[in-house]
Amino acid sequence: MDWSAIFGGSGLTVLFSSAILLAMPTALAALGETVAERAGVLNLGLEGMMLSGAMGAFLGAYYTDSPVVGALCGVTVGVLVGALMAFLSVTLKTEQVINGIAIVLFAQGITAFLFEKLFGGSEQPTIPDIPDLKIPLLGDIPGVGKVLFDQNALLYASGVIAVGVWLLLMRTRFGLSIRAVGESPQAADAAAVNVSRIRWRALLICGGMAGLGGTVLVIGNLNLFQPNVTAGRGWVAIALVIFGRWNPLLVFGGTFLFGFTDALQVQVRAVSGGTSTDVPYELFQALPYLITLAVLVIATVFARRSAQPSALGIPFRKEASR
Amino acid sequence: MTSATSVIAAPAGRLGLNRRRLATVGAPTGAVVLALLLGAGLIVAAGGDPLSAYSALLDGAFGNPLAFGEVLAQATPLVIIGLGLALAFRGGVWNIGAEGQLFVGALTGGAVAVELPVSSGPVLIAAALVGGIIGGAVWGLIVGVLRARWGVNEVITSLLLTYIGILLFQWAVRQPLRDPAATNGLSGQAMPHAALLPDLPGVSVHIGVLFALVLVPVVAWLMGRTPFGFRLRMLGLNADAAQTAGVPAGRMAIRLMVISGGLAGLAGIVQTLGVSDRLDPNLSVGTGFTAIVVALIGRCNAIGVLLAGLLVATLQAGGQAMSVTESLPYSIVLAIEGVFVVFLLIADRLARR
Amino acid sequence: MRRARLRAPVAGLSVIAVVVVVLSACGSSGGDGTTASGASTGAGTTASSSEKAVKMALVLPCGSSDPWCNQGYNAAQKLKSEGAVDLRVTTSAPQDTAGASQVIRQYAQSGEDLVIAYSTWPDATNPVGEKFPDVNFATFGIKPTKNVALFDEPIYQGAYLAGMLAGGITKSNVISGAAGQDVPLCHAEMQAFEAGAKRTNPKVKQLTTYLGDWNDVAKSQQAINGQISQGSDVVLACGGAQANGMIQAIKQHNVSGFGYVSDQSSSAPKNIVGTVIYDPYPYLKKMAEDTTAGTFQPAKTYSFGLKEGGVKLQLNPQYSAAEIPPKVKTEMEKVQQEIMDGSFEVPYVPTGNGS
Repeated sequence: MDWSAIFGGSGLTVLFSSAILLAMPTALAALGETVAERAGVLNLGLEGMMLSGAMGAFLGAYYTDSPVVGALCGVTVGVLVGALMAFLSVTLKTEQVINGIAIVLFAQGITAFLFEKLFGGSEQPTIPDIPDLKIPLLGDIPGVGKVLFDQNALLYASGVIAVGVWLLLMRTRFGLSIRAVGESPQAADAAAVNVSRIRWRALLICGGMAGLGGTVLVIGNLNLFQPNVTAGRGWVAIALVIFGRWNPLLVFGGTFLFGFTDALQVQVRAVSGGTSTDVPYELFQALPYLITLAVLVIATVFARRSAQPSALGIPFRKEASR
Repeated sequence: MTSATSVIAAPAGRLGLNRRRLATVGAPTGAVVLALLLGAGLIVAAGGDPLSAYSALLDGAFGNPLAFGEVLAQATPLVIIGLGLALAFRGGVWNIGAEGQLFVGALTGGAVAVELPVSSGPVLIAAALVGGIIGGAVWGLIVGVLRARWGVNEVITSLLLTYIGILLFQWAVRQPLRDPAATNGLSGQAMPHAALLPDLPGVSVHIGVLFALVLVPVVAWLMGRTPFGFRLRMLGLNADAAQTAGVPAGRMAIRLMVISGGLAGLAGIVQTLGVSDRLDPNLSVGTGFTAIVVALIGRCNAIGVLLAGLLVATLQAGGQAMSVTESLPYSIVLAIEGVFVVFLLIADRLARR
Repeated sequence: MRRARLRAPVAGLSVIAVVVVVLSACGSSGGDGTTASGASTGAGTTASSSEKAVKMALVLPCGSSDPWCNQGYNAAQKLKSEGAVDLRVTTSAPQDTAGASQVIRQYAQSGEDLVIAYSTWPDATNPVGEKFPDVNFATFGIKPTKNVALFDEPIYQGAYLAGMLAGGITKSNVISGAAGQDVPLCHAEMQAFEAGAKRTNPKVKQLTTYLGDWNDVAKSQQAINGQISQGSDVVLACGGAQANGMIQAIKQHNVSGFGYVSDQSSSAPKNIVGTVIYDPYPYLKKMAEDTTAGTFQPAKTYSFGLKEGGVKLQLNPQYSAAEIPPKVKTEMEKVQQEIMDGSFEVPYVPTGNGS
């Protein structure tokens, strides 16, 4: 096949744009999950949060014709599901793993049901696309400019928010409390940090980020909703948090590695037209998972110590309340 | 700190009843009632009648031998996988990849059943079951070795291998093991008739359900009465202390991944020979993940897993029946299942205060 | 500590057990009443319809606005409005074989005459068929059994006509197809599209991508974007997610495409040339008639192609007529006529030629 069609100038632009579109929803959710897990809560409900956010965004944009309202709805719905997770896992302290899976079940059911209730029997509803916003000068840089500075406004906003979350977690007092609470809740508690409150906030941020991930998938990208539209991206995001060793920058890098591999295999198959290769396409589909696995193993072999937050998955109980 | 206990128990205190006793019985009952009410709300929203819907759920699960057979059949893979996961989780090994192990087991076991030139039913079935167990076990072994040898996190490896395992299965049923008569979906080859699991007399459920029942005491014994079970509990309670005391953590992780993977593979081949009767890409949609819930609701205890598996299967099969008799969209049943699972946990939590 | 915790779930579970027992007591006494009341509601809706209305159940694997399920849903509703059937529908039914089987069985048990399992569900349907020999079933799949009939899906016939138009519309001489899986249904559709295009434009080259997934809209869209970047300016999809992904891709790049199964013109009125419609209405109608007449069994594969109205190419009136060369359109209509009167048969190529 013609490799220059993929790695030549214009092919490369398509490839990277595609990688950004495929990676961004997962990356945002993974960042949110990083915050939750750094605070010590293993949130397996991420897929449900993304899906609910996607639905919220779609409905908001559909009924108001405003992508801004849609985006706000998506994030808000994500925050609400985050609150549900926090109520169960932090306030009631029930088993986090089950809470998460139950939230996914619930979200899958309720979104499909609502969609059916609202649009059942009619044609697939869509929302209007939002135009790309070309940043002057930067957008004219050959190659990179088109990829990074000629996207829709929501993607820029997401990039900014992602950086914000990284700064929040790694460079602020609040971020320090989050990490302390996930590493040693007892010590944090002794230092007068309100463990429950910090975990609640971390889960609200996580829900909001996952909701934003769902939003970015729907608004300006697919411009439609269908049941299970997130197609398992939340689960991949959870895997990529571990892959990135709970470090927001590595997590972000990991999701783009995954997204790039995914875009690459899709491009290769699209460009070759499926006729010039006898390799089963399942192997191409497996490529992002295989490469992530390989990089993970190599990275773990060379990394000395575990980066996992010590209190991950363990509910915190004040000694006094026992 | 406000919690559900204080909210629910407060009025009881005011009434001057024994608050402590009420908290252990009343609070969980309250949670269950609340779950039923929330579920009722969803049913009303979907245009159904909650009372008749709930009785339809129970009728669909226990109303007749066929219905109960369906509950047992749906509980079978959940219990088989759940038992393996219970062992792994107890030993501190977080195998999240049972879904992939199930599909790989179905593939290897199914391939054995299709390719083995044997006509004797029992031999064919036994060989296929062994093939399925080995497939799942190998898929688990990879995870175990990576963790034992280099400390690679098993949550992510088992999850990534799930996607790879399912793709492997899809390739197999699309290419080498495709049913040539299939036209519009992926369908693998049919199992030879001799390899199909026969039904138990009386109830319409395949004998695979017996495997689950036999495994329960075996796993209970393994956990409670063997040195293996003792090491397992030590590891789960405090991995560092256990290692200091000489428990070989790495070897244990490998064993646990092999056992839990093998049982997931067994569930895969049992479903293939007992339910789908062919290599079927619709064999499972998330059974391996639901089994995680089953293992944890069952507190990683063999009897608990059995009860939890039956409970979840009742919700599933009863819910499916309810969606039909009450003309409810099936999606609402999924949502109700989610609500029930959450409140079951809450009830359990409150009962333990 | 473990020991102490282990007794607890039993406490929790036993509470549930008590509730379950109490409720099932209510259930067993009121169970029959429930079924009766359910049946009477059913009768109420059909009071206006003829007495011989077939009791039909439709089990859909997706929501009723999905391109695939929408067609099945609307066809059944049409049949119901004509008074031919009493209809009960389950949307978004469980996808796994065991769950789907339970839903299908429940319908059979509740006295339906004809249960339509509207997906590739032979493994879920056949065992139920064995247990309920007097109930008729239909599904998509492998081979019919005594009382489980099959739907045929000759979508490729419509795809051939679409291809003929595509050959005339393309300016780059590159067209493309995106399909969920390389199964005969999609393979034949893609091959027919290419063959049709080559008939009106021998220079045409087709890029075909099998995504390996029926659900992921975003990836389908990216694949089609890739095809468009390679010059494709007419796209055909096979699969609901692929069709939805195509809509967005052709809108964004302002190229042309053909809708899949249910009319998608309104989603991209300027870009959709037409839709290769799959209409299950004649299938459901005939199945209902055969059920009434007692000629359903032994069951067979029901097949309604272009000739019989099960498949058609429905053009989008809003699509700019200037894009389609009149000569090509006339030729397409001629071939359509030839297929109708049986003088031409669209080649059916279910496998092979690259995977």
